[in-house]
Amino acid sequence: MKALVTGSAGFIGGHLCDRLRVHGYTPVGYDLRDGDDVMDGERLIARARGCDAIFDCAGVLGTAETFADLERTVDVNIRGTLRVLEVASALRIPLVYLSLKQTWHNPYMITKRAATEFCQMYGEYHGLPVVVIRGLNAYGPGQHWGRVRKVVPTFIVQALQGEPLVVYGSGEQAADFVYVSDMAEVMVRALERACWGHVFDCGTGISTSVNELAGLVIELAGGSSRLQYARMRQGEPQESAQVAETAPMRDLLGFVPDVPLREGMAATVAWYRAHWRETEVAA
Amino acid sequence: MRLGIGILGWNRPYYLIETLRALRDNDLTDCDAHLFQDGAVCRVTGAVRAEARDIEADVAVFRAMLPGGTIHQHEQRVGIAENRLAQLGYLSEHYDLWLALEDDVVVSSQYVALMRNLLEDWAGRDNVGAFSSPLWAEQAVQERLGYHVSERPNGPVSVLATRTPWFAPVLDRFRQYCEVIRPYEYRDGWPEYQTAVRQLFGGQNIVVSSDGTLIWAFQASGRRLWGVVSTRAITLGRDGTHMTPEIYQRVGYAAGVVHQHPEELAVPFVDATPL
Repeated sequence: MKALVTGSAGFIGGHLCDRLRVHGYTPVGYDLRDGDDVMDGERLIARARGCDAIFDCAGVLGTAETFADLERTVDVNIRGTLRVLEVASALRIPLVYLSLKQTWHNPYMITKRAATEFCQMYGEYHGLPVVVIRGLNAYGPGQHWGRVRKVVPTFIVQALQGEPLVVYGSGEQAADFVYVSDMAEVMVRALERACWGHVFDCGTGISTSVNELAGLVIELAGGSSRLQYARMRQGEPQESAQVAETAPMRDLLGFVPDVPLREGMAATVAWYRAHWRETEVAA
Repeated sequence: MRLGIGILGWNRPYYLIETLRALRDNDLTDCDAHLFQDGAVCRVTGAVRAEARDIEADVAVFRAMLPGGTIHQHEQRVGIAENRLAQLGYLSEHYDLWLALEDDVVVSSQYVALMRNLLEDWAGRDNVGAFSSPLWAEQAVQERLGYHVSERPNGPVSVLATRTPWFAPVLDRFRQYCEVIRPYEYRDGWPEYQTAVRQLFGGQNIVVSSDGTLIWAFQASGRRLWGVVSTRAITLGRDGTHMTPEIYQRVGYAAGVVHQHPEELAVPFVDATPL
């Protein structure tokens, strides 16, 4: 069995490819890094032909960063997903779409929300077998840092270098941190259990504040970094508390992400200790 | 009969998570899991070879993911060969049926049951040393010979299933090797290490790593390393010596797909060597 993965060179897409191989699927990578653009419908349909599933993980990422890249964010995250939906619909291939739980007012999250609605529209009116995974904060080995600020790799690299960890706002914002291969497992199970029409949150259901995360990272990295507070960035609310509703995963997928934050973060710090320079993306 | 599962651990908790996740997807009834955890400071040279926190992370991951398991922790870094000897020796001493895995091996969700069946089906054979699993196999071969086993003279030893009586002569040879290399560190004492091992091999030009020597130990003791023909285990290694991106690029990602078929548990094993 073959599965097309858009955004296959990305953080979640890459781990999803590993997870697919463990489940017996041959992943077919589709990533802009290799010249495979989700906006290119002809190329997309040619690569999707013969596949048994599509996982759409492609997208322009970033909260504050996407304000300056609004047109491209709309194009890739909405029009790109529409191309994927058209291809999946034309070939009658089931689709697993990776979305977000957060509903903040920045181009990234607005476009992912819109794309989620289009997925549901294709399910309802075109009969497409589609399932949406609303991911919380995925972390783990191999996440890029630098151009787009992702809190976990940014904190880890700052801590490993002995620099202050920059916290935006009060640091009391609560998030749900989910180990990346747990998220990949949820995505594969959603396909295998044919949960068409469902929208799943994907997280642990456990709330952790940014301050708590920073403290944990400093402890695990073994440095002497301190916290440095800065004004909240554009596109991120002063107060937020996002955690996954886990019951649907438990009931329908028989699985809830369960790599504990401390152990998952310790493994992630170990990976960055050896590899952090490889994952920097220049601004 | 209880089955022992021994995993070699060093400083790669991010791979160990996936090894344990895969094991956890198996039916582990009547199984005991053991982590053989190497240390950070080399016992020969006193050099720091790993971050102590990464060793602690390995142990913490094992405790969290297999809470009923047992940890065998070396105070110092003994190296892969000595740690493997501890693993193989302990499993031989305490179990008749056992599995020995490295920390980046991911097995199929039927692997434990499949190996138990295989070890029991072939109990009466006297030419077996252990069963390996190819880390990759051509898709066509997988489809044609999905349920068969065959002799694999150079099968990977990163994933082994065996019975203690089969493995005893192999373990004796491997212990000889460990005694020879004990005064040296693989990394800094390489020339002396290499000379000592070549002497053990009678001057033969054999790969002197722990993996290479284990394969030699099978051959030297007259025990065959057999393998299931299709891939029931893969290595995740994006770094290290197993399936790196470069190797996958060469052999093709399609080759590194785990053969997952629950129905295979009902199918008898056939010796496919003549094929």
